[in-house]
Amino acid sequence: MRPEGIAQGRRILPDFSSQFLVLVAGLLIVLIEAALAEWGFFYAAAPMLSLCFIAWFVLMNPGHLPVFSILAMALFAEFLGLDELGVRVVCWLIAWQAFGWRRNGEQEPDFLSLWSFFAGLTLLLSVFRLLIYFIDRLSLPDLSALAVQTGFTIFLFPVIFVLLYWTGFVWERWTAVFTVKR
Amino acid sequence: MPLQAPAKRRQRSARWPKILLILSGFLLILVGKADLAAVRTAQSGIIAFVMPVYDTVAMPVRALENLLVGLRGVAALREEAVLLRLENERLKRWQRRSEILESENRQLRAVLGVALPPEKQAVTARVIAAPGGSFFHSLLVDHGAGYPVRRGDPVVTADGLVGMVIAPGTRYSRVLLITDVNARIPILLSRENWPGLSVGRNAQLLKLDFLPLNATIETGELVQTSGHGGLLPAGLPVGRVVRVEDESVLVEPAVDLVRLSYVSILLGNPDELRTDIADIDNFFMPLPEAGETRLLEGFSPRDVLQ
Repeated sequence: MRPEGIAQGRRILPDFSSQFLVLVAGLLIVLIEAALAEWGFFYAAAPMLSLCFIAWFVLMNPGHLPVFSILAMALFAEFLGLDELGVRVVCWLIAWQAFGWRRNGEQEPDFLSLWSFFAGLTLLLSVFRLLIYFIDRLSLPDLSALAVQTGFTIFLFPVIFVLLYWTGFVWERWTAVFTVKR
Repeated sequence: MPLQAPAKRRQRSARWPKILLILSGFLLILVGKADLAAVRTAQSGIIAFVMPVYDTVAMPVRALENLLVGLRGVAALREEAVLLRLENERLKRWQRRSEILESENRQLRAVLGVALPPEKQAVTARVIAAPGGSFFHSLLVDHGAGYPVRRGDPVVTADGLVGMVIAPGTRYSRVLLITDVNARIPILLSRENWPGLSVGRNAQLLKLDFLPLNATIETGELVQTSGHGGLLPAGLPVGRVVRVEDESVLVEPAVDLVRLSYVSILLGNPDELRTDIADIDNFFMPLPEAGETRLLEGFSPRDVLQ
């Protein structure tokens, strides 16, 4: 699969209403992430679906997810107890910056290179969170839970990517039909 | 080349807002550490606002988990019935024994004039959000409106201690689990009454700290709250010792924190102590298992008799 949005420039022009819709979807993703943590299987290791969501939007549809939406999503996740206050904000901002560099750096990315970049960044962010935790408490948390969380985030990236790609495609078609009818 | 200079300058100046944003994130970490009341209030308000939506979103996940648990349950039903019959027999024996010990304990308390902790009103609360990351072990519980839940109120199940309330709200409160790295609980080891501190590690097992150097600890020993410091009532089961090594003693929590659905919040002021002996009949604490001599609140009838 080749992401075509960047190369062909077939993007819907971002406006406030679409940005707002994407923000609502982002907050919903955070809620799903918190709900997954209720499942005993993901106890203390819910996959970071919101990172996949941010990655997809920053890489494929940059105008739709402004930095304030990312901030809102991170703060919301922190208020829900998925992370301590500020940690996720910093991580997501770093991710936003890194995805931005990646988007500007390569014009024709194939999916595997995107996935490997995402995997590398997720690992780096986990190490960064670990570092913050260590500085704060001079101890380390359960590394197996962290490994499960990081692993599942990387593993689920293609699934989220395809789902969002498909949703974007349907949305684009729907708005096109709507525009013609009007 | 000179044309590139303004572009570079623009690029450099565009960097500053990004750097400031990331720095503001670090500032938020410091604000979080300062534990400001305003942040807690905002958090409580946001949680109260989004919880109905969250409940709806979490419904399919809960349904899926229930389905999986149900499927596993059907397969293991016959085996469980046999085990339950055996357990029933064992519990009957324990009931007889506990009646004898309770009677003895009541008499000894009457003789000693023991100060009893005040009665605590228990409020049942539903667990609505579990820890999502390995860096912060806390729960969100829904206890309904109108209960005076306060910071530090203990949270328990029938099996033992779950944690304590750290951010009370009008309807939803956040509970710090005993496994969180910030949880420090004064404990007593049931067999020989050694005092210590149970320390969370953000992992499944707890670690015991500040134990006396000459303490002798055995695997399987019950660990219960000592009541020291007055924050938690004495005698609540915390867990059982599962590993004793040179440097560390590891404890498995008495409560299965992964599968929590409902908990009880013990309301009341733990600083007050009653000494009214007439209330002794109403006083009850869960009994430890497996032939331990140490019972209820760290008192041993054997020690008292000596």
